[in-house]
Amino acid sequence: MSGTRVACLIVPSFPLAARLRGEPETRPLALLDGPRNAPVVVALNEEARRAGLRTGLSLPQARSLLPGLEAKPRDLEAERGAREALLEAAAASSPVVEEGGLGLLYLDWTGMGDERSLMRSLTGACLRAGLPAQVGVAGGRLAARLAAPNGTVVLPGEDAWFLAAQPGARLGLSEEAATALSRWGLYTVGAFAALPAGEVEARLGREGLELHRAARGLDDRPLIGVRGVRVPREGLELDWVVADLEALLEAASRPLARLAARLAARGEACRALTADLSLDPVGKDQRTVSLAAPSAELKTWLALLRLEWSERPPSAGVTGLSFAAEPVKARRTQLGLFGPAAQSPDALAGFLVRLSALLGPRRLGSPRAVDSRRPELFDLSPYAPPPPPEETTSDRALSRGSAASEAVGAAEPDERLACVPRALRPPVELEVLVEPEELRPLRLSGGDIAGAVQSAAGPWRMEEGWWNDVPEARDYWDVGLSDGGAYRVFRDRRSGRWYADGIYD
Amino acid sequence: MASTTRYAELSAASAFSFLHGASQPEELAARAAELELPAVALCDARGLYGAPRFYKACKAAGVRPLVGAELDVDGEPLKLLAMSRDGYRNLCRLLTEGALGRPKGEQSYDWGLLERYGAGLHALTRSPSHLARLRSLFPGRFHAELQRHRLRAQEAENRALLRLGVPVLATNGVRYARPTDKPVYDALCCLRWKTTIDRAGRRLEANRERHLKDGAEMARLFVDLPGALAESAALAERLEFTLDDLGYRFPEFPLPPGHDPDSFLKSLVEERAPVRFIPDSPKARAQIAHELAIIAKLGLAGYFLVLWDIIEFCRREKILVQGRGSAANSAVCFALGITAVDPVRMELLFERFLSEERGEWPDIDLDLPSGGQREKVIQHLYAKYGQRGCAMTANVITYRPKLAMRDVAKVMGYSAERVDKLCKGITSREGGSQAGLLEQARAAGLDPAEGRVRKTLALWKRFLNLPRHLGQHSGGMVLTEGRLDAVVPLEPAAMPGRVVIQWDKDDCADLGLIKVDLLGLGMMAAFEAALPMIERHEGVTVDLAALPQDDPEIYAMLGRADTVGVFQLESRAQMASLVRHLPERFYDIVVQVAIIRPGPITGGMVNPFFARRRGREPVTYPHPCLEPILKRTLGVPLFQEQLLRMAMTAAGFSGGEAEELRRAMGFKRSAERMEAVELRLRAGMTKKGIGSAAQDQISKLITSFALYGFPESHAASFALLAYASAYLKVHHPAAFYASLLNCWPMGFYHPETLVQDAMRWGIPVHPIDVQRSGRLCRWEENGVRLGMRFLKGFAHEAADAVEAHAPFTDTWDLARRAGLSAKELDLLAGGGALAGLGLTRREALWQAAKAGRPAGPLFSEYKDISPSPLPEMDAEDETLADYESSGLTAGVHLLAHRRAHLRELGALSIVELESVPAGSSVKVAGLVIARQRPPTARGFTFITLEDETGLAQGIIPPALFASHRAALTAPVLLLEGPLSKAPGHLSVRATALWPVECEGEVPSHDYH
Repeated sequence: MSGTRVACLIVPSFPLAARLRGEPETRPLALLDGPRNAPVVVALNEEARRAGLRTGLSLPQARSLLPGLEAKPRDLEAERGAREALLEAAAASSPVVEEGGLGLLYLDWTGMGDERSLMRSLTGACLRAGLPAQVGVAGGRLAARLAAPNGTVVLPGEDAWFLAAQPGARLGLSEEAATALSRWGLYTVGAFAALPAGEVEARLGREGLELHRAARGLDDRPLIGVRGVRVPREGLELDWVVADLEALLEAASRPLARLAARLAARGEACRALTADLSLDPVGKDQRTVSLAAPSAELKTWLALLRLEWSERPPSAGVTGLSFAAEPVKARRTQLGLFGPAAQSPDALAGFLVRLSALLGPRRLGSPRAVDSRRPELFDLSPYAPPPPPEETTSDRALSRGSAASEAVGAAEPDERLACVPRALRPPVELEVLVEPEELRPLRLSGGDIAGAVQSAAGPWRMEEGWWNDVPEARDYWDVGLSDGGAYRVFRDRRSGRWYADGIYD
Repeated sequence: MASTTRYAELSAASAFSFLHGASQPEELAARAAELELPAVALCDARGLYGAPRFYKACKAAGVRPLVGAELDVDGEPLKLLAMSRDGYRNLCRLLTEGALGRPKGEQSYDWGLLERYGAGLHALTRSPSHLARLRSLFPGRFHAELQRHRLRAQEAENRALLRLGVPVLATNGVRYARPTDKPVYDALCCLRWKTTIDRAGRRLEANRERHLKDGAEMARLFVDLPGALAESAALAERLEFTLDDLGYRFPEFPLPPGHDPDSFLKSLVEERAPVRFIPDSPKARAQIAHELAIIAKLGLAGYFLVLWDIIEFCRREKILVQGRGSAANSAVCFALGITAVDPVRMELLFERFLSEERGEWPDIDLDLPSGGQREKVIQHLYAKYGQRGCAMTANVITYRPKLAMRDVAKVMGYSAERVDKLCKGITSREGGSQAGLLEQARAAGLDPAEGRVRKTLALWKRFLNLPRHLGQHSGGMVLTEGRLDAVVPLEPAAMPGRVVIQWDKDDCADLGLIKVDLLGLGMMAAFEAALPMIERHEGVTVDLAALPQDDPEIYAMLGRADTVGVFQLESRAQMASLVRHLPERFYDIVVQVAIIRPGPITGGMVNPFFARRRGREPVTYPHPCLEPILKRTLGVPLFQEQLLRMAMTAAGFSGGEAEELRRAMGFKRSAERMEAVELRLRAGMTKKGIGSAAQDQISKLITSFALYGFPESHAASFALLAYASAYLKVHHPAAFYASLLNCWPMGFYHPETLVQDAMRWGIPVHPIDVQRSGRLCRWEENGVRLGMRFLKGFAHEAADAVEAHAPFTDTWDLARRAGLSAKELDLLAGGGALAGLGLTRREALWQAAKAGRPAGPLFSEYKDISPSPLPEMDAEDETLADYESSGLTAGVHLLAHRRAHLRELGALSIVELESVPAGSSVKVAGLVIARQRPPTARGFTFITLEDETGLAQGIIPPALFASHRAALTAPVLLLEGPLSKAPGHLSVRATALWPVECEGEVPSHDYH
């Protein structure tokens, strides 16, 4: 790749940088990762490093060395947002950006002019995104990466010379290759590069050979550009617990504003906003607020979130927030010239957004049965209007007819369903005269229902929800009344009240 | 709650239906008694798992326990009730047939099996599709089961059954004892469906009607069908069978003509006693006669003969075996060679083993070499008594606090993180502490006052001790005359080729099934490996049973606590007490084994014993009458038997009563029982004229110590093994260390410590070498050649291949003939195992990396002998490479490489500590080979340091531990503090400590 110039952009201790994005921490701080019961230190800020800590320690070990150490877990959401911001900054400086690892990007700077000035502008862009970055430039990736920590520009043709003195541990090898080199006693890149290439290939295979070439300053593989981010995400972890709705919305507005700005720049809107809340002390609260129609308006998002969280507040104080916006291109729909007069989808969507912002997200949708023995229970699924039907002659005739047209397409009545009750919604409260021992209904009245009980089957007992605050316990009866009517009635065993909730007709 | 309607519940399932029932059998029995049900049939799903406990509880409660099981036939449940013993036998066989030959937990039943094993069984079903087959297979022995749980759909099914015109009866399909048990049942249902309570929906039962109901309540439900109720009661009366008579018989021993079991046992014992009892004293003869009389009276001669037969098999097959436990109290067991301790000479208490009052089967545990030899004995029993004539006992795994919380919290819909948090602080001991539990909930971020949290905690309590699944007992084997599957259902264990019965050891004991415990012991396996090695290489045959027990070299070694690898005497605490005790005879070893135990330590017996032993305290007795009992232990009770004898002597208890006393103080001791025992003790002592001060002292000793005291018989058995291992260490150290290394993991120490100990003993330890090593360690030139088993990640098969094809001409020859991969060659090279091919460590690594990579056929004979361009390792690098590849080194100790640096830090070597006066402040560094924080040590941590010259103890006070917790995990530590000295024992009470930096992987040890 003669004449090729590669810049390497590194954010040191990327997980920590992402965690602290824009919020400098002056106390000694360690970032933890690993199994929940035994996390280890994966990144340290300067203050902690100065106190003699190193990565790989367990938290007790680290605290035994530095009792006042602040420790935070890795924040993957913050890292995701930071990565996206880093990619955007890099993309503004080079047409081809390759991702080399966590907080590590390679940029094609071939023929880009003043490399020093480019370096300054790139680090400046990163810093504005809250990410302190280091940039190195060389003829190949390995040299550029090893040059970055000191902001070195390796002159063309000097990669091999530059690499020779570098410690082997900085090669960034696979575990297997690192083990092999350490067992072989090769402690500098130069020592490895000095091995005969054929012997290296015979022992370490293609991977070893490629590494050996890189160690010799040879890098002829073109950069592979990374794809853009589909679902943008922004978030932050709070250092305090937020239990108040207003404070929560205030905290949310910062990442949401970043998100809205990014979406707008992409010419996209959001059709569903997923909010992930970290709860105190543990636990997550995830909810997705579907927007009835795409929107990139911060105000609408906040209104929806306000309703969502005020209706169903998080079960504990919030320690972190993260938002993902499901993007969609703005809808452009052409109505049929000869179709029935239908609502414009855009207008409908706008209406639904406003309506759900007014009512709350869980109060608008299509009803859906739930798995329960309580017949009155139902849930809502998102309202998705079907496309306007294809216009036919008969349809047109029907559309001029009566409301009975709604029955079109319904199945023929099934004889087996003859005894299925029709639900009375809401249930009708009854006054009931009962036989004292078994509480069998003898006479009942309420609403339009009244009469002596001619026949009664039951009680059919239903008990559900002992795990909830208000469990249900009902004794159902199927009753035939003197007027010929047949009803499904029940006695609420907790209150002793009677209701009719179905009619057999 | 009396009821006038006759009704018996013929369809109940307990928690032993595993997720299909929510109440313990005992709860069902107690509730049935409250409801005055005359009989209840327990029909657990696919087995008789709960039958013994149900039987026992029903017998106590006055309810007839009927036996049945529920099977899935054609996807519908079918219940089978045992009408007679034949029926029971068939039920057991049917359940066995449906389970064996399938993976554990899977059963399958079809009409063919029902036809074969249907005799004597009565069938109940609610499936109309079953009825046609039942009509032909169970003529007059089936009913359609009507149930009324106040469900619409169920009533329609009842009517459909009635329309078929088949005989009907009423049951309530019981799944729990009381309505309040329904939440537990729902939670189990959720676990079955792998869902949460919020998502379970209609998979949960509609209501809580499946509880036990009395006749009156059932009569109200079946007011229109009184005949169905009467039929249930009538059928219950017709079902004759209960577990009263299982038809179990212990296998009969084939006897020579003219003998019955008693006479044959007597002849065997009389023939062997003169050889075993030396001298053959009148006391021994009297004891044997006494025991034989009791054995005859209890009809146990056959049992002893069968055990003797197992011992004889082991002897023929040269398998080491030794009986332990209370059997060591028996002169008959000793005479037959079942145990190795002479109970007459040791004055052991026979009643601890067998008594007329208890009328129980004796409990004999046989220690066998762990691994293949133990399996050989198990397979011998299968061969002798048939695959269906013996089986392992089950081990019922019950819900312990942590697991219960995990399952319950999951069911209640808590997130994985919260479940983890809830479970984190729960320990097995913290079962019922309400305050601790609430604290735990708070720590998990839950509000204990919140409804769901309260319900979760309540449910958790209900889950405790419910059976969860069935495992296999570690060694209990049940034997029977004839077929065991006619007595109890058998099923496959998780371990291939193993069969378990559906009952655990307590069930077996309750129902009179006899088991023999075959336990694997690592030290026995080490003996087994060492003896042939000694015979082959040293030309000496060692008979462990005939070792002289007065070998001064052994006692000298014990006295200087040089006991790494010695059975039971190698721990830090044992070493520290050995130098105080200075054993001089075999009984001292028995005491030594027993004294470092929670009982004597927490009972405050250790210091008085050692003070008396060293003459610093006078030997006194709580009462003169106890002198004969406590004399051997200098007036300090150390053994369980001593306490029993104290009760017998001071309070006039019989042997059986004394044993009962021990049991009364078992783990589930209750205040009332303890009080009653103490009253009896005091009454007895008053009768014997013992004064109140002595009474106080004796009562306190007995009641506080009886539970935790170590049995003398047990200690004696262990002491024999300890002595034997010490004998091998002193006289045949190469074989001893090689065997210990081959049987590892076992014992207290890491192999590296064993290797270093061997080297300190002057035993050459040779490194792993492909030309000379096997998979296992070998005896070589009065030393040990390390085996390839210690190479981390090196497969046994590869080691065997190397062993089979050695020697090799070069690395390529090794790779080709042993079929090794690049990775395997690299492991050998890194561990220095190619030195025998004339290669340095780096040359070997360089060649291995190439020789192990696949070469095409054209290059298969190609060898690259070009010189290695790699730099050579220095000596310390080689030691670290040894640790990295095998965790041990046969070369120079790591600390030897660091000695110069440590001297700069002012550290002495361990051997140099010998010449420093006690009390001086010293610095010493070492590899930490053991760390301990015993609960009895009030927060002190004990570490054992090892350097190239020896071992020393470090004592870390709690404050230093707290401030240096992290540093303490370092593999090499430097301690500073005052030196304590006893002969052979050095310890430093640390006032400061530092980790010593080590690169590479160094073996370090967790807390024991």
